[in-house]
Amino acid sequence: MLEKIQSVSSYVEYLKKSLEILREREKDIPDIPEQALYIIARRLLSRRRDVVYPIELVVVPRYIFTKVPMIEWRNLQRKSVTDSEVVDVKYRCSKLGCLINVGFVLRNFVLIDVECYDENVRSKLRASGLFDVETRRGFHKYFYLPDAVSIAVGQRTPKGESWTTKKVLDYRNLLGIKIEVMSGYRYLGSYPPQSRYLVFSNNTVSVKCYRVLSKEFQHVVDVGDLTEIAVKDVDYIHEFLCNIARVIGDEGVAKQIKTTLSIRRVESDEEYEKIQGIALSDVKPREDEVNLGFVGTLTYDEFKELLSKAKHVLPPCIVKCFLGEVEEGYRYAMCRLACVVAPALVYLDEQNLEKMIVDFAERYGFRKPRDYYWKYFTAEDKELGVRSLSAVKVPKDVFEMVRQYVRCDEECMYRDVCYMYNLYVRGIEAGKPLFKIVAEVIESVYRPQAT
Amino acid sequence: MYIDLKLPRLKGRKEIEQLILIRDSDVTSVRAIRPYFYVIYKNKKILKEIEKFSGVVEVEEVDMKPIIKVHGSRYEVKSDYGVAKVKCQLPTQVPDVARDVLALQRAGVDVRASMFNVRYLARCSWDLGLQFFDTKPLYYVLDVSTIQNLRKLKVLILDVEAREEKPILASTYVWTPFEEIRPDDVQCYELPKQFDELEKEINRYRLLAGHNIVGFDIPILRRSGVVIPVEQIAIFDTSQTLATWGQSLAIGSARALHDVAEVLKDKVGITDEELKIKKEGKKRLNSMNLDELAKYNINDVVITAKIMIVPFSLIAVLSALTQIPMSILQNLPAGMVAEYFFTHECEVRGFVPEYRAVKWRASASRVWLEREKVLYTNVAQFDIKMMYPSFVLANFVDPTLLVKEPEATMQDIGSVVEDMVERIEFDRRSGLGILYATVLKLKKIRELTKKLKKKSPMYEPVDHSIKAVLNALAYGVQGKQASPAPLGNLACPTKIFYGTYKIQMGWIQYLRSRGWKVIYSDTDSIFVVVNSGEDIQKLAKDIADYLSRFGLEADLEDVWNVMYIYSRKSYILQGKKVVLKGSPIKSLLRFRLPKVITDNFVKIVSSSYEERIKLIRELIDSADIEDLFTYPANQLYRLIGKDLQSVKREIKVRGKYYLRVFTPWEEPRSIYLKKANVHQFATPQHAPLIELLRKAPKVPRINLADYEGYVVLEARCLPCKRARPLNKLTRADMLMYGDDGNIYAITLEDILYYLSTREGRVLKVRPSETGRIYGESLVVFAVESKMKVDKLRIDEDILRNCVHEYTKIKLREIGIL
Repeated sequence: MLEKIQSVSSYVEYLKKSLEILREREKDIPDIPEQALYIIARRLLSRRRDVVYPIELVVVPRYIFTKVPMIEWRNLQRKSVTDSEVVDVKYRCSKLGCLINVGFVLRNFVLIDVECYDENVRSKLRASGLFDVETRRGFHKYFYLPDAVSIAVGQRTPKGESWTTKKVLDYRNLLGIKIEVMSGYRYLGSYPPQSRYLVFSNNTVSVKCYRVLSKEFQHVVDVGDLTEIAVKDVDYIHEFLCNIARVIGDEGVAKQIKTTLSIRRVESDEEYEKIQGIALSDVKPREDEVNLGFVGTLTYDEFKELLSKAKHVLPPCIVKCFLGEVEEGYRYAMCRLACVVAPALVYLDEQNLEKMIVDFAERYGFRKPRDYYWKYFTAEDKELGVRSLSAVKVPKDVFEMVRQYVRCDEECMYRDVCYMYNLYVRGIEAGKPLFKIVAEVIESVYRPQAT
Repeated sequence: MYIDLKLPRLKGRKEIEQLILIRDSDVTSVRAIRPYFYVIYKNKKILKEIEKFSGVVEVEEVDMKPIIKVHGSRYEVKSDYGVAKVKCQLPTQVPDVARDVLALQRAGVDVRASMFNVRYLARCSWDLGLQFFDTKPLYYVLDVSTIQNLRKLKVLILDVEAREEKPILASTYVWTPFEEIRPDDVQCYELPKQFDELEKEINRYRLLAGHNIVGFDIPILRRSGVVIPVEQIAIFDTSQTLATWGQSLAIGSARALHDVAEVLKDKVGITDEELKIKKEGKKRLNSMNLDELAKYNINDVVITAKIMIVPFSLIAVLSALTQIPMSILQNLPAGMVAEYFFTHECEVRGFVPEYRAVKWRASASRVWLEREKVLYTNVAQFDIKMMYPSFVLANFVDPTLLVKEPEATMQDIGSVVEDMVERIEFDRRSGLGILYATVLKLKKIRELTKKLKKKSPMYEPVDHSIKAVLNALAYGVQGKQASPAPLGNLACPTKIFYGTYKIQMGWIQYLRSRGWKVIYSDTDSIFVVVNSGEDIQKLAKDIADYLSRFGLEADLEDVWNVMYIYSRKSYILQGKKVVLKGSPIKSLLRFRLPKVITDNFVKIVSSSYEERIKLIRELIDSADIEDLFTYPANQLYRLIGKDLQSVKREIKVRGKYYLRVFTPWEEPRSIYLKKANVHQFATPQHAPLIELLRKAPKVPRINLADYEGYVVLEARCLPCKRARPLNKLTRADMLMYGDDGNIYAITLEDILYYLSTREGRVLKVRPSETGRIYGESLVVFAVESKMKVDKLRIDEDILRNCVHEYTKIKLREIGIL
């Protein structure tokens, strides 16, 4: 694909494919006539220039205007910059210049992505000079860690600290912004000179590029020198997060970040892997897990009806999982949680399964429900050779995500009896499995009504 | 795979619109590239003026950002200036047009020129998008697959033997890098019988290689009518490459095949037998029969093939990484490679650096030594890791990052040193820093290649070539002393040179103040006498303490048992291995010691004092008498006519014939013997000799008809009227009582001459007791015609004793005894 996009006609084909991918994600994109695509193609081709990357980057080509990688990049993640595959991809991307979007592996890098829709707040942040790049939805700030794989962000709780490499600080209610901190080789950052997006307004299409705001990052783009964005002290990153809140004028949030968050360096790949747990971005079909064999008796519709009736007394995780809207970044965790509960109570034949998938796809915003269906809800039964839904255990990292997301330790009234909570937070193997709690709650709510 | 490209010569042709490129895989036609350079202008009108210059074909505005000088030594990216590409007809016109543009600049027009010194052929690959050895250039990524690609190459190694400028024998071998050499596969051609076969073989390969092939083999074959398509093939000459890259390859100044082979002996696995054949064959090349010559010739090819890997892999890898053709690269010094690399690095990033010539001179020497001609034991050597690059990176030395410099005094750079360095300051935030960033990038790449090298020694050439470019880039590009350089300025070289100089001198001082005995230091290395293992640890700590202030690090290179310092940059180190620095062969010859002693010099140096005296005695006793007198013996051989090669042919000066004989001692001085038996001498010192000769009985007439058995007169003249201490004697080191009762001051060679000429006896030879020589003494020797060495009557014991004494004096003089 990469070699072919040098001529106008093949580049138009490529643009079409990119738009298709873009539409899957954002449904409100209007049709662009082919003539306009030709104009875009010609202009971009005429502006094509070589791009030279800093030597440390491992780059991944993306479909233009999107964040979707054009190649299978799982192999590239942990490779050295001298590896022939990395060299090959990098060289071809540098020769394509503005014709594609390019991301780079965040190994040794930290990306702080601020999403912000309020124009007032946005102008404040822009003027603050804190950020490196202005993107379509907000701002990016990059840090380079010369001698650490990534950072880990810890949330302080009364029982201790839980560490993650991707942390979403959601202050949308307070500030109207969402701060995302990510680092490590499982994530990609955007390389600004090669990051383009489409803007539709007044029946016109325009191609826009990420704007470099800071002089330091301009040096990275111009001469490939990372010294200016290199940090050795992670406190600097911590302070930076507080500063974002300060710029907006919310000292309280700044204080909250300072007291509750802590950041440390992750020195080795093994440590990173440990924190990350099972990879969130590359989920394989769960072939190794056993079909537990028990099935519930309810249909999915009945199950949901019961749940919605018992909404006010259910554990918050179950409410979020089956009834709420789940945001990007937590889908995987919540889906797996669903797999713990659903099979125990619902009779999941094909019809019910289909209904469940559709329900999840609507609330979770899945772009490809079928794919996710296979990924999250089924496993292969080795004896029978059939794919069917299975109940699974919740691994620690999934539970951490759930806990962080729904704040189950603060709000949940079942936390004393919850088996998972006891196991992962208190370290005691005691309590009831989640599906039993749910079953009991439903029963207790349902019975009085029945009588 | 594409190897090398030489465009057809453009001389005489006016227009070439299309060029056809033929590669192994495909045939493509491309537009002919035009040699070009960049012009940076403020006012667009000037472009029309430049268009009128003769030789200019086209002036094209390009979308690039100029980096220009703003004030003092400071450069900045200026977006209000434009950049235009000036395309010329012929490559030779580029510097001329650029000179005219610079003349405009001198006249007050705001116009600057850039990249006008980049050679046309070095640039063609950039313009045509070629990839040598299928490797991705270093400007974008670090591609180490070049090593694998090199293995696919097939190179024809050629060596020709000639007599009387006519080829009589040629040998070829098809060489593949990193493969074992099979001497049985060497093809031998008898010439002129097999000219056709040789021609066919040569034309089959795209890459021709050999030692001094450009200077000797190819011209001699072409003169004899062998067709070699020189324009179409790439020629790799190891001798030429070593002339420019010898220092970076750690081969030193050796050029002759035998010398190079001796230096690289262990590294590439040349056997002693091969060396012996080469060495002995060289002496009697003219008297060999054809079979012997063939054996010698094949041996030559095998040696060439073995040493090929060292220069070839470096040049090939460098060519692949920088995309400069190999044929250009072999004659391009590392500094120029770095400069081209830098300019193209700018070009691909969309910047055009202004070129400026700056005159400056380094007034301090980087070598420090306590005293000359001494022998030390137990010496630790510390080297600063990548000193120039580290210094550049630690101080952000880059003309675009300059924030402060001394104002008026910058012109007078040599006189003010100490405080000037302090007053030059750089700041990373203040500008683009492209030169700094390029050094940084290369340093990071070097770190990667070092890791690769540890994994497999095959990556050594990659590491080596990056190192050469990195070191040249850090200092070489900015340190250019007169010709135009990209971003030429005074502040950067001053800062780098005197900054590191100050660190070096401070280093020595600091260690001396801490009680260490520092004996030698050169640029980035230091030699300190240590007594025990604990000492080394303490020393390392002291060194780290000092250097960490400047962001530098030093490594313990080695601990040497013996270090013998002869002079600046010439010393011997002996530990597990032996290092001879500073053209060691030459410096040993300068000692004028007997051959057995120079051969075992390192052995003598590395033993203790008593052993040393014993060893010298043993060596002298065990050697043949002819081995003790190598130079005189050689000369006698020459004079007697055993080896005709060295008796030089007659030369004609102003209609008169002279016979020219080179004297073996000291400076190459020639004595002319005039046809009419009247002697001419090179220096006025010989004037009294002429007088003497006139009075002396007449020597037989010289007959120029035959070369053998000349009567050659050689004279030694001592101009010393005053008494001189023994260690300052140049010519005469011993005194001799002659037959006539006079005392002569002579050298050892003289004794043999004396013996051979007069058939006299040496009564007594002894070193001057007082160490002084008085009066004006004069020795005259003559070699009678057709005398043979075996006729000489030599009293061996006296001679041996004499050699022993002589050696002792000499060794004492140079600090070994």
